Amino acid sequence: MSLKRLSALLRLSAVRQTLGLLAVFTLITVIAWGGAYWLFQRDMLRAVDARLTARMEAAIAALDAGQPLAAAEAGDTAEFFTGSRADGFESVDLADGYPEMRYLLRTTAHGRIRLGEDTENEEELREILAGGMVLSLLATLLAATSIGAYLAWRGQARLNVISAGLKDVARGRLDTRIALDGQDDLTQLAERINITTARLDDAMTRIRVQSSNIAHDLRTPLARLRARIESALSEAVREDRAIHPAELETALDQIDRITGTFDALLRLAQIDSGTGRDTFAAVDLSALAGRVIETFGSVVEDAGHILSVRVDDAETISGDPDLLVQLVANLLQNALRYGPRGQTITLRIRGAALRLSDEGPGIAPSERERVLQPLYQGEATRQNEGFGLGLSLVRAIADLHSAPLSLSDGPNARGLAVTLQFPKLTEL
Amino acid sequence: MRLLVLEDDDTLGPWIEKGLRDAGHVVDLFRDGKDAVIAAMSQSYDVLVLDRMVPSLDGLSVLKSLRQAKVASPAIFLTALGEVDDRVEGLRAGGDDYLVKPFAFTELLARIEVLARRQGATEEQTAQLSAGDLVIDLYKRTCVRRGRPIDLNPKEFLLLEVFMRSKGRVQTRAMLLERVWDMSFDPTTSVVETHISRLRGKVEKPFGDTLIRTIRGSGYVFEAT
Repeated sequence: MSLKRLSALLRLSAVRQTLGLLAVFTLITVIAWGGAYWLFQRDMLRAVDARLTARMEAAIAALDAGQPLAAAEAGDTAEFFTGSRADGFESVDLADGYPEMRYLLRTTAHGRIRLGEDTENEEELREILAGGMVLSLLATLLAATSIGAYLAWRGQARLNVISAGLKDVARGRLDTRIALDGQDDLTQLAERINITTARLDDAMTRIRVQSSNIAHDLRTPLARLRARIESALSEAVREDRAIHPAELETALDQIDRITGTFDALLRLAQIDSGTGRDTFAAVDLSALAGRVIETFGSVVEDAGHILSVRVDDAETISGDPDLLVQLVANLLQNALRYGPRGQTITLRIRGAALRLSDEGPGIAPSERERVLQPLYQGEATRQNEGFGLGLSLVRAIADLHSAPLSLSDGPNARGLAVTLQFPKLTEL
Repeated sequence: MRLLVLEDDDTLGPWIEKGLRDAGHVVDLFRDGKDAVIAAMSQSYDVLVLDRMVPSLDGLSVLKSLRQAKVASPAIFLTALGEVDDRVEGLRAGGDDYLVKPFAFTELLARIEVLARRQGATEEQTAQLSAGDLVIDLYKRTCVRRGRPIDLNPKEFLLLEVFMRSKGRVQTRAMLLERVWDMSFDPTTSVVETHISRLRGKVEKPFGDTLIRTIRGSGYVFEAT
């Protein structure tokens, strides 16, 4: 394995964790077992030393009584020492083939006595113990390493799945979803990433749709404007006359309408960005109804329709009063445009719900879901300038207020009813 | 009136300058924010017309420094930035009005005249406003013409009040939406037209004359007979 690959491996968090744990585990095991070994050895020596001391005292007592130095048992030694060593205990490991000995040398009134004991047995015991310890240490380390490696590999594999998914998302493939089996924090993380990606995907789709809507809503009237100016100009050139003021006036009107559409699109984008929530205030829905009657009552009447407003237990909600008026204004405009003359347009407020219904042709149940989606670009609706934008604004304002928007049949199964259920102030 | 215009666009600047001159005002046109600040410090203008985006010193900074130097002339911002945040920012910097490009010249002129008037005299605190034979009582909320009481709903009353406070001056649709209905957006339905037609039906029709004149393409003007 090259150095580069090794360092890449060491950068993996799972490998790092495993190595760290192994190091700590090994350190603790070595310290614990080393300590045990040291204690065992010390106790064994103490036992040997105690026996040597007892024998020394017995030998001195015997010499005091005038007896000779008793010969030692097999393996042990007892002799008068003539060398020049200091008194005390001493372990001597002679060359191979000779037993290991521990000696006690003491200077007495009868001369220097050296007693020896064969410690070969103890030594063997110690070696067996040490060997056993090393063996079991190696075995546990091996086991821990392989389990650790397996866990690290498994964790890394799961992390790799997430990492690969994110890489795809970064490349712009927003439909990527991370599939991770199991039930742990990583699955949760993957789940959160999936939700975020889905939101991002949704937002991008909206932006795409909005840009194409902008293109549509602005290009069409611009094309009309261009056609008008071009034909006016070519007529003026052909007939060698001045441009008629009426032609310029129509052009100006058209430009104003384009500007209006542009403003509405900007407004839609701004509402969609969600920043408007900062300025939310308490809005009494019955006061809103009052403002609607005041502002639009005569408009509806003069258009030959009837506006009926019913308010029951109106709640106070959190919202932007201007945007809410605009929402109702847009719904009213749709109702006026598509409903038959003489229809009753009903604004109904009950609790925190607002419903506006008309007696127009309505929207087929199969279309209702789609009509609320930002993607909706039904030919029939968009041919009438501004309609698609009107409903988009309604949807955007409803979204901003976290108010679910639903479409249903109007009263007596005729027309269209648009219902918004605002969250109550207490639920926020 | 003496007006300062800060606008660096080669078409828009002269267009505004010429339009305001034609309306009988004295106009100083600047293309650079620093020049505008120096000019506004050395002499007083009735209204400042400031473009938000000009080289060196933008309209917002111009007004901020002028306000710090205690120059109190009313100011209207011209801008291609139409977002609510920009509007709020402009008003916070000491602006009095805000007009988004593109705009009709009549809209600009009407707004400049409102600002100049606001500067000249604080709104009358009287209980009654009268115009010719039409009298409204602001406290009792009553309207009387030639001795005959006229029943107006609150919005019609407010609309008439706005008109009577600005006799002879053009009120554009957008201005009326802001002042009467507190709406900064276009409700697309004919709110202004409908209410004016209803108001006319009450204060003009029974008396057989015209008080509110429609100016094609720009707005309405109230003229007492």
